[in-house]
Amino acid sequence: MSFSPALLAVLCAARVHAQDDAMAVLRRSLAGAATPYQGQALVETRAGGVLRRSLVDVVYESPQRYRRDIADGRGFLVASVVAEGGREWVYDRRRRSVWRGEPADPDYKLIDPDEELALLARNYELRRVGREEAAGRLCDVVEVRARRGGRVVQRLWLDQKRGMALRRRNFGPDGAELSSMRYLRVAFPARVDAESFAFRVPPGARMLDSGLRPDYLALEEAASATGLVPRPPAWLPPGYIFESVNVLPHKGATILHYRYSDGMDVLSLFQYPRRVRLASEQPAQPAALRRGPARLSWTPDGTLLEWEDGEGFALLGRMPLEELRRVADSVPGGGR
Amino acid sequence: MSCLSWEEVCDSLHGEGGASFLERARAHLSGCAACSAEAGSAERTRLRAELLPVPPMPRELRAALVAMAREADAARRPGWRERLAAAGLAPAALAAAAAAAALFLGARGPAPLEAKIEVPLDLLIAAHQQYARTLPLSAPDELETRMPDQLAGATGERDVF
Repeated sequence: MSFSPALLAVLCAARVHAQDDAMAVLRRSLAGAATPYQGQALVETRAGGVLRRSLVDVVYESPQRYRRDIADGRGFLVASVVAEGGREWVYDRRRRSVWRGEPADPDYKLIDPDEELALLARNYELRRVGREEAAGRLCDVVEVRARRGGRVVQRLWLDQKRGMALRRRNFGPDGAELSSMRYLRVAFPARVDAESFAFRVPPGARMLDSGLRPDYLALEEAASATGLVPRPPAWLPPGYIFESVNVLPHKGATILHYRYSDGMDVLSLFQYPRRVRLASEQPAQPAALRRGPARLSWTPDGTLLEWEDGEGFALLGRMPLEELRRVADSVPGGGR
Repeated sequence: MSCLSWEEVCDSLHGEGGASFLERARAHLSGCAACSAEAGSAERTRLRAELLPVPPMPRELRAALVAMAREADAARRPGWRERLAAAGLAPAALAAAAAAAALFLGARGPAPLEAKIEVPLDLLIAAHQQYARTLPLSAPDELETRMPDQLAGATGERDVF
């Protein structure tokens, strides 16, 4: 089958238009992040053939002020996440523990929002593929397709009026659904009750500091702030860029967290002193890197590769293992 | 590689003896049940020692240990361990003494004998998630259904944060 140049030009223009159209929908959605809402979402995650369901009651006012009460598949409340006044509390009801930290903040990045959207558009094709209802509201359905390999990675239902994502399906490399979220009901009140964001430590609960503070540093700043010699990898998977470094202090140890992004997914590399030992109940299996042995495990956030070379390293991302290995092999040697 | 001596087992557990030795020792430990059992025993002893309450160390003993450690570090050989062994200490007591010294000096003294700092792996995962939540297509409603489990699973019943 062949197309005339004129038809090809029309098809290409239509494709570009569809992408621009979808990006406009996405921009409207991001701008709508300031819209207060209340609702209940059903989250389903599949890992190792097991389906896990959670019900999340959400009261949202802004990226810095929200409350999410999370119930398990049987309806028992298991956790609450509350953010207000620059603080975030995660209350684990089963263990009666409260972790105090700071909420994620998109402003704490070296990359600016327009550059980030351009990065997303460079690596993923966004297309508006139709209109459907979700939670009883009319939505634009946007399909996100990886430009490398061409597979659909996500489908989003964005409220036409408010822009918020009312439904989301994430797909794995084989096309199977990995996880999904859909609002069962949602409302957009003019004001939400401020009492929702008042977190009181439940009697008898332990208060613990997670130590997580959103921040961003350039490599040179991280080096002078910590005294560590940064050892970023020389190779990255196609489409990924180095975004920034953050420093995680923990019990006198300093851990460097290198953040890499392709606009949609994150690749994290952690570098820590030899005297740090990672404690985990995660089953791991031995793996081999060019420089020596490593440990391999799987988490809901991706594959984790750990190794030692003068210092300790952990690499976490959703890419194929061979790509993770290549990243790890490109980390400069420790010179020991 | 033939079976490891007790000293070599201890060196491998403490990451001492050079990269080439460590690589050979790890390869041997992964295939030798006897040496692997020895290593397990030493590690358990070390962990038990770590859990013991730490009384204040006599100033003279600390000064002597620091001097011995510096000397051993300067000579790049485990001389202090040989001396303790020559003093008639059993291997398990040797490991416990090394761990106790590491605990004391890790808190107060020079780097060569610093104790390991345990960091929950899930703290790193939570940091990864925190960053993932800043991306344009992030899904906090989904991410947060996993977060509490991960943090709690990492810490067990201890206050590690």
